[in-house]
Amino acid sequence: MMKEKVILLVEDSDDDVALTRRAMEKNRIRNELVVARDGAEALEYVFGTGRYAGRDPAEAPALVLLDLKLPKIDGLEVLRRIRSDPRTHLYPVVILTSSKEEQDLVNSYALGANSYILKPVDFDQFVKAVSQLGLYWLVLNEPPPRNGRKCTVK
Amino acid sequence: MKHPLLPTGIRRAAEWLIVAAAYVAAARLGQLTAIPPGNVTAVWPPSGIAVAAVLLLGGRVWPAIWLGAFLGNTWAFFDASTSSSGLKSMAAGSSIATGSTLEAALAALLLRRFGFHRALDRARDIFMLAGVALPVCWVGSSIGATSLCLGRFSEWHSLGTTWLTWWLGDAAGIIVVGPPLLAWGTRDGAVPGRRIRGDIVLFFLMLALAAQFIFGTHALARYPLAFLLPPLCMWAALRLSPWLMSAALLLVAAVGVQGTTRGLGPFARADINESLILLQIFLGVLTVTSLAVCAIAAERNTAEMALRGERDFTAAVLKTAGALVVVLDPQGRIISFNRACESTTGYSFEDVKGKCFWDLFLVPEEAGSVKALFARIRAGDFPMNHENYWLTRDGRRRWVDWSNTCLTAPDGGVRHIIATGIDRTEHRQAQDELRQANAALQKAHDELEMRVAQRTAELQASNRELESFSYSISHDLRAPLRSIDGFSQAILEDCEGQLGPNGGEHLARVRAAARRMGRLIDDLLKLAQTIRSEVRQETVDLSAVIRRIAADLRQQEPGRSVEIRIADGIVVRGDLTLLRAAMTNLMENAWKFTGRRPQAKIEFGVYGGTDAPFDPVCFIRDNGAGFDMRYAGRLFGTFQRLHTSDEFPGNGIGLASAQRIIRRHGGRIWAEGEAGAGATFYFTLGNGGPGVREQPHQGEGA
Repeated sequence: MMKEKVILLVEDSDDDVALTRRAMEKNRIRNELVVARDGAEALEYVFGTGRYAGRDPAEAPALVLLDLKLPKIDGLEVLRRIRSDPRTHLYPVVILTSSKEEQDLVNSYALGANSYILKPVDFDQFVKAVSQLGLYWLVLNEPPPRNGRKCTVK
Repeated sequence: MKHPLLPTGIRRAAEWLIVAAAYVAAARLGQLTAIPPGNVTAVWPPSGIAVAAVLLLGGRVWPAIWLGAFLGNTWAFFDASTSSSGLKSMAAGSSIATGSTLEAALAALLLRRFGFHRALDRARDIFMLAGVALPVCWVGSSIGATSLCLGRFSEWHSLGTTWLTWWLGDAAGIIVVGPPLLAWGTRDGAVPGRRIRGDIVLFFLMLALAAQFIFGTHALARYPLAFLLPPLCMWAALRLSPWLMSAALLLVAAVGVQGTTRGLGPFARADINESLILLQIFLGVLTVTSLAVCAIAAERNTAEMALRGERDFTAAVLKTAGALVVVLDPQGRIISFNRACESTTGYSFEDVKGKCFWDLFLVPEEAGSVKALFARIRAGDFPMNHENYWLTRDGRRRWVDWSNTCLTAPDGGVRHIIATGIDRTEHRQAQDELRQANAALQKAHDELEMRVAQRTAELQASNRELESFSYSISHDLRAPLRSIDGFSQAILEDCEGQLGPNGGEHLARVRAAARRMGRLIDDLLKLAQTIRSEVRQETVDLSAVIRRIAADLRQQEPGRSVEIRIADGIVVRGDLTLLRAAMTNLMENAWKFTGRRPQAKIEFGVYGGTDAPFDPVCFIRDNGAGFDMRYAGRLFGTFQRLHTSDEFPGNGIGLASAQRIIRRHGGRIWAEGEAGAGATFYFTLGNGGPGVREQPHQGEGA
């Protein structure tokens, strides 16, 4: 598989990070996995501040896997900030959460989430989901061009 | 001749015969007084008969009058000695008869024109009769006297005397004989004095004796005692009805004529004609004045009766009126006090008569203002309304709503103050009570509002809590399960060799349990969502919904053979998402419990359509495992299961959800079943229930 861009996983649960990592390994997804343990850290990474100072926000990760329920700043707020900054607003963001709340679904899409994936309890299914996720976003999907923001529609 | 006319014809003939006969008889009677016989008759009652006949029977009786006059007159001077003298007599007779007939007709015509009352119940009728009779009789007398002279039955030189005698005779006849006939002919007129029947006889006797005494007594022959009659007649006139009085006067006249022709009485002269003329003038005057007095008395009587009737009526109205009516003089003294006043205040009229109302009825704090009001009313400020208390005799207060007005004297001064009041005490009490009740109600309402607002706020808070609670469940409860499952799998994969013989199996059980709990949480969340979410109202084609669910079920388990019948056109109002969830639960239930049937059957249908007297009832029936009716009550409870998971998988939430959804639609769900013989789930939807586009028949085969 391609060894290219970073995947940003925003997830506060160690278990889920480990399981995600394992599922990615099982699916031989070799992208570097950057893990942000809360919303604030995720924003630092996204905008190249704090411990990620120097990172170019225009360098879009291959995928942002965003949990909704996060310490400090919640996932929806992270999504809102990504979408409201011209440098980052085309990041592919997939909500990966346990929440089946309709409100969360509606708000996520309203804020411009690209997908909404429910974390299944069943690990086998989780592996399947990650596999499909990788296949779709990392292989099939054509990411926006780097200078895409220059010709954004309003 | 036509038969129906016969009775009328006979009656008319009889009338004519009677009129003619009466005319002739009266004429003969009068002619008896003619001295010498054959001379002009001074007393001529037929003229009265003729006028009365025309007035009572109408102008059509003229032939009878003419005939009576012709016969009556011709009889007096008929000379049959030669044929020419016979013809002459008849010519003179017919001429006289024509004059008499014209006279009567003219009199009747004029009287009718002037609005004459035949009952003679008004003084003006009497004067009218006399006023018409005197000039009209010139017609009869002129024609009659001229005819007599032309026929040589009388001499031309005595034409004046003849004419005068004739005129007075006719007029007296009308004035004296007419009234009793007219009054008798119209007795429907006022006949006061039924109760003085005994007096009538006395008055008649008295007048007859007096007349006899004055006109028929030799001893008094030369004394002019005629003046004695008028006072007696006036007395009688005050007591008798017009027709009785006129009859009495006729009697007096008869006695007078009888006496005078015998040369007796105050009017006896050497010339009998002269005597009779004088007598007739006297009788005429007496009759007119007496009847006028009689009519005046009758009029007064009638007016008095009317007045009394009105007064009685007013008194009765006042007495029975529910309103208080007080009449005061300008000094505030009580003149009248009706029964309502008596019953309201407890005072009788005798108690309060002549006393000032403010001394009796006013409460101290209002005395000043009410007296001031009274002064204003007296000064002309009326009508005026006001309300104030009246004290009753036993000291209770009555709230009275007064309307005041005044009766004024012709000079404009206030003569009486009339106060009409309505006792509004109860009304006022009721109003006060109502006001209090309203205030209490308002207070209760406000409190309730406040409590509702409080409860709503509490409820909203608890709802929010519930929401965040289920959010936590959704998110946090599942995360550990995922770890359990995920890491168990990791162990299975990474440490396969070290697990020992049963380790793998145990870990598999752990994973299964974690996944089961995951599903349980999902279902619980779904149920919670059902309870919380709003029920929309839209048109839902239940048949289509069920059809879709059935298709999904078949797709999930293509290996099963299930006959599914779905009635078409069952359309309801409700929330599509919720109803779909409920139907899914019911259908999945049916699908699941028919799993062991080789010939599984599921049916969806409805009982009762739009015309049915009850709300339509939908049902989903299967021939599956069924259940024991003893446990029907537990069917819809959360986590309640009637079968073990080994028999049929499930967590006991599906039917509970379905029930909640149906209930949230205002409907009802229940089940019938038999262990081993299938189950039927019935449900209604409260908002009018399911409508059916067409009667359900067989559904689509499986």
